[in-house]
Amino acid sequence: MIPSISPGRKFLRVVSALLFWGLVWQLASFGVGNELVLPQPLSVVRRLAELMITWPFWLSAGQSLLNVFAGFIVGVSAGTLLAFLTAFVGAAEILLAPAIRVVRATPVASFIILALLWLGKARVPAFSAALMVTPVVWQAVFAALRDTDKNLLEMARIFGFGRLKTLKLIYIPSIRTQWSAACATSMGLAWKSGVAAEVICQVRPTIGEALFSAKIYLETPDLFAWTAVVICLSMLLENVLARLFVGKRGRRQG
Amino acid sequence: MINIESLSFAHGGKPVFDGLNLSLGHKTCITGPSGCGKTTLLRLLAGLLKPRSGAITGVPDRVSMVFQEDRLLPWRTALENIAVVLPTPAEKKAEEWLGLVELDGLGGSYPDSMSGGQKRRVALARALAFGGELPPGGRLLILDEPFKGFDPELTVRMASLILSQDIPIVAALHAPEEMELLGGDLVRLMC
Repeated sequence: MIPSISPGRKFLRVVSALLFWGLVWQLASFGVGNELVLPQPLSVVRRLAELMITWPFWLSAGQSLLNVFAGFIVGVSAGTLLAFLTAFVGAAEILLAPAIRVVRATPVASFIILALLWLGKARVPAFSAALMVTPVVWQAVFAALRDTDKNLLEMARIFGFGRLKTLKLIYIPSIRTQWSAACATSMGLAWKSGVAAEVICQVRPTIGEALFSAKIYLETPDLFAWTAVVICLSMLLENVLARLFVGKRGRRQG
Repeated sequence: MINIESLSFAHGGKPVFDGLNLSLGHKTCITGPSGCGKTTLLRLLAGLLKPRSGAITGVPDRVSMVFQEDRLLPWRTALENIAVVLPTPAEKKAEEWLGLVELDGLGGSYPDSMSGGQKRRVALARALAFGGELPPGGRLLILDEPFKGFDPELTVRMASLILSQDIPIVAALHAPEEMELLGGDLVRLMC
């Protein structure tokens, strides 16, 4: 068992790690000696502070957050529903399992370009985020459903649990741990694919569009600043979800 | 009366029963060496396994079971594990059952924090509680080593609780003293 760490110690560890990598970055930046290639950490922090006091910054961050979160919710819902369908309907497994594996193996850029043709650019970021999340959640939930304790299912049969009762008392608690882990993992993927879609489709006003502008005008500190925003938002959402799951668990986990 | 006629069953090609004929009375204890098919016979009676040929007749609609393993829901408390098999509102009745198996005050405990004997008693209470609204003759209680983890005194008290319900019983047991406590017919399976 991993020993638990006190909050103070944990904070110290995080700060130490940040300082260490900040120092590495600073030294690398000195070594390169060109702000266009690798800006100094302080230049990035200064640029981020400048951006944060402007209205377009919040508009872009908010729009990207909305895109990614919408895609995430759709992806989690679709992945969960499809996993149940795959687990309980024989024909569905034959049809869906290879399709989802193909989606997982297809480069996200291919989907983004196709979706741009099919859906129009405003919907592409959410669509591509959903497409990245769905297979991850599907795989985790399907595996958990397949591994559901057969002894408990037999017990449910003897004691006359109906389908809904079996779902509520056995299947849902059995998948909860893997489902939560898959949601946390796929949140990062949703951000990566969502922002990539915003960059390719130049959806305005979004973080992706800001990243694209930074690239065009060689504003490397801006590129780093916006990247930092994506990382912070992704971590923030992941934390919110983790707290939500812990709160929901309350008592015991399956 | 439950009748087993020409029952054949095989596990992965290996025959367990081949033309078994048996009549089970109000109380039947099944014994025999490990691996001779006691649990398999109970599972066939419960309808959890299908015989290859032959028939089992006279099994009541409501079959309740204490499995070889406790099979409690790990994410539910002891009280909830009993309440889930009862018609709602079930909490008061479940509490009564917990009291009958001498687990008062442990209703809020989760299975992973209970001893083997305590979990076994929750499983027993759940099986006894299921179908309690029906007349005893309309039920069948299948017990697979129900006293596992009990000390001799507790075994006596739990056997007496089972008998007080007057439900038809089929039990797989190992110890002769447990068979003596439950009484009824004795069926010895041979390997």
